[in-house]
Amino acid sequence: MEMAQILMNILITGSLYVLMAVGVTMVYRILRFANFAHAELITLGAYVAYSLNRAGMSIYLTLPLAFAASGALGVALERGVFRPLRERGGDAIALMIASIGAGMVVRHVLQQVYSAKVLTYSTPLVSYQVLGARVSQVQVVILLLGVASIVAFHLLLTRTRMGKAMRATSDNPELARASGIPVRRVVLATWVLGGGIAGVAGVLRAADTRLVPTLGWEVLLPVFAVVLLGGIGSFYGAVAAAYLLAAAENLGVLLLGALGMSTGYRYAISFVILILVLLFRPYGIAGQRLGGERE
Amino acid sequence: MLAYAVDALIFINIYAILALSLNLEAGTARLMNFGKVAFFAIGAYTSALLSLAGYPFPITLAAGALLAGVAGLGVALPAVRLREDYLAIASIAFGEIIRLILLNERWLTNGPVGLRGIPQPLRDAVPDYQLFYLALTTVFMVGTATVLHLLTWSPFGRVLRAIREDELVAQALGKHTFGFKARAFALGSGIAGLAGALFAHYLSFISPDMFMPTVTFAVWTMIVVGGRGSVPGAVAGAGVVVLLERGTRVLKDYTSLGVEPSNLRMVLLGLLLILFLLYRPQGVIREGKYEVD
Repeated sequence: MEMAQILMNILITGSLYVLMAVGVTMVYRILRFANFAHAELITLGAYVAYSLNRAGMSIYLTLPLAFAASGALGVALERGVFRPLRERGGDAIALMIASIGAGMVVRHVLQQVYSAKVLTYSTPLVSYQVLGARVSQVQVVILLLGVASIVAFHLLLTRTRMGKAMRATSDNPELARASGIPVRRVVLATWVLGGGIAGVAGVLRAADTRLVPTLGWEVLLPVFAVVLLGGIGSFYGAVAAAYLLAAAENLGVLLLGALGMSTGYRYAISFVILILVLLFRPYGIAGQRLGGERE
Repeated sequence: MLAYAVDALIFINIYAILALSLNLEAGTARLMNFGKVAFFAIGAYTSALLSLAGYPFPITLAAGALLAGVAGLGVALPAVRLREDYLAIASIAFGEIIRLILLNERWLTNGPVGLRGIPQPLRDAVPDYQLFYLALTTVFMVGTATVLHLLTWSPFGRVLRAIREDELVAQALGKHTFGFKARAFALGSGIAGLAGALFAHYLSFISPDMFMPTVTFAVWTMIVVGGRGSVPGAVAGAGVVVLLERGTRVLKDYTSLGVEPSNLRMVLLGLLLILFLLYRPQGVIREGKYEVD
């Protein structure tokens, strides 16, 4: 494969990882647990888009609705499961197990409704030559939305009151509450934004590959690798880690081929990186250790 | 009908052994192993491959448990010092790597097709094979439960519970907590390997898609429902989860409910997890208290 195509693939994979990692990293930092139900926030958006697409809507026009659906699911899980569990004294592990349970429920409700069959959207099969690489229309949208979301998040976090409140809450929830920041609202906004963007990413990934009930689950561990490599709660770290991991995966597949190993191990690349990060640098490349955190 | 009940009981035994092993790690020592299925798979494949190569059942069974235990020790040495949520994520990733190896190393595991015709011990020597296998798995399940019960209430188990409650305190009392955690993890993994071997020889067919992370989550449901830290709870939890699975299949066969049983089962397992964590975090059988006499 040509260098230009490899680079383009890295940018496409990385952009999807950025969109998927935002919600995980914010929830992990603010609510202090690894949300496994994030996989289903990704998947739900993709299935909502499928229904709308079947009804004749362009796949790009479904994006805002997929955002709304997954954002709403995020809020529903927070209100129905995670907040009650926190109020009853559930710790990080209880929340994590509950998120696995919630994910199982959503995934299999979707599988019951849509079946486990492989589905595809009807998308215009247009592709372009960009700097010597072939890029499909969907992939162009992925790249543009990736860049747009990075800029939008940067502006949100630095220029708006809500963004400031989010940063304050993730730094120290108790202090934020004491300073009059409406922590509950910040948490809900986090679920809407993080979940919504995950839903959009789900549609784009399904359009780029195919739609199955395990769509989100397949990428969840790579997304965790991005979040931990970037440092939990660090948006800029996650962006850097997303493209780094995408590069490692795309170049790693070539390496597997050169070593004569099965390319079926491509998924193992991110799993191995995830384990290495956890063992040697659990605060990531850009993140800081949380206050009072034990090694 | 009887065959069906015996089959369910055999599965309850095998899953109870698995749940007991997770209960030792997660319930007693708070080692959040979310890669349980990996050690189950290692035991299953080891025993199956050795058996296909002609080795007798007692040896293959022991080898399966031993290799799973060694693998557990290999994971534990770097990983048990991790923060508990990091251990959880790392162990899920480990489980997926093992599954990818089973899928891709065709020369050893026959890849996605899996292993067929795994020999069954004393197949032709006993009149009712299912009943024999029920007896066999019952012996192993009761044996495991007994050993783990004694272990849990021995000084070793006391240290594990101390680590669970506050590792710093245990260290301050001079306990080498790392060694205790590593041993608990290795022992739990070995027991999971034993369950895997019993599973492989019962079905006489295994393939990588039997070792998905959902197996781990089902076993977690068993100990959350049964009561974390409780030995009888783990067995009861295995009973609940297996019967739930059977129930959804029966529902499919005898009613016109248009729900796929596998979907209904997973939805119910997910709801069980959430509801127990919310409303009965101690499970159906609360962990016993240590009596000082």
